[in-house]
Amino acid sequence: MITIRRSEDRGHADRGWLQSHHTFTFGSYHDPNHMGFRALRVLNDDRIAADKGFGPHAHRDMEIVTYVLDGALAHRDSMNERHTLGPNEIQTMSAGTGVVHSEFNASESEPVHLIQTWIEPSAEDLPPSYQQIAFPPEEKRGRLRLLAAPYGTEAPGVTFIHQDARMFATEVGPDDRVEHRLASGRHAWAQVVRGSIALNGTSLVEGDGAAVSDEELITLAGNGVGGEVLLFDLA
Amino acid sequence: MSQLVVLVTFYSRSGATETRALSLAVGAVQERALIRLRRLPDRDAALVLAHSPDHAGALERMWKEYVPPTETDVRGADAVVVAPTSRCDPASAEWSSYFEVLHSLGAAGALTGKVGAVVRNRDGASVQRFEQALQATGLSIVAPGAPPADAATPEAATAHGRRVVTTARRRNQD
Repeated sequence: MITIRRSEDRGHADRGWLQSHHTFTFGSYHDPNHMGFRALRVLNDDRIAADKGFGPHAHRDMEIVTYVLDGALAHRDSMNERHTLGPNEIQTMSAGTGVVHSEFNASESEPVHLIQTWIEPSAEDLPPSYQQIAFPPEEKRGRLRLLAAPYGTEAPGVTFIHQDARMFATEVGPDDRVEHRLASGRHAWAQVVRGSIALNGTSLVEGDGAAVSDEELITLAGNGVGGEVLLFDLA
Repeated sequence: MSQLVVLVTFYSRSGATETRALSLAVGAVQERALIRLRRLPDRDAALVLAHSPDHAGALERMWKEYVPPTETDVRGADAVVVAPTSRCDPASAEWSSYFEVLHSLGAAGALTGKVGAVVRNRDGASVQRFEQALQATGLSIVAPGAPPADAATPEAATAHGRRVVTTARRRNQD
């Protein structure tokens, strides 16, 4: 079963310096029919104006995974982590018992476009942690590049989360076909973050998402256009 | 049970006091409180920048990242925490306006039942002056559990943050 969440049906927040589209309930946008999917609780598509951002605020008991599409995001937190995140990098912050952090556009002239997801952890009161890795863009072209996986997963160059969930990125070229096999009882969320693709034959454009359950195979096809997709394999 | 709100207001030029304020806020979050972090504005930003050229990066970042506290922030808080720099005074140019707001709210009974705390620095006399000033507004002071010699560390500030929330919660339940 595939349930489509169209881009234009998402929640939207306009704060002037921030244009945010919420796939699921977030902040002042509340829709009881879209409270998340499995452990995926938040999926925000944010565009932050130059030199603007989120001042210091707190998180607790959440796995926060951030993926920059364009621009650069400056991060500071109470664990004394100070980093700039750009495209082809993944940032995973386990809020655990509590973290205070700020996120600002690192550029004084260009906007930053990012996808931020919150994944519910499998347990509360875990120690906070911060991970950030970069990867060559070729590793996501025409194939799924694993970005985040449960602790204990033996895979190089990934960040780890406290949940039975995996996050992949892929750039699907116009003639590409990328497949992902879903194990029995597993579910998936696919989010198109750029361009246009077909998921098991259904056309999706930038901002569209799809919940996938009771399917053995997910096929992402470029459909002559191509695009970039974040894919979450969820328990 | 609704979440308690802890308002942490600091004044910092180098970022050191900001770090202690953040450490206290983390403790409050550990106790599942909501936090509001606010920085007091500089009376004359250009002058501060001229006097503290080494801190230009930290100052410009903090001007961008923080907003000053408002009366609404104080009214909505269950705990009012202040983080001063060493050798500072509640009557200083940076703090006096904020304490005027607290006094005015206290006189109107708007601080009744709330707790107050001061984030420790190495200057015990300054901390004491701020505690007395908070107490004069009607707030009930939460002291850190750590001995004075250790109370200025980030770890002690975090423990202090937890203590602030548990005390405020206890008072709300009474």
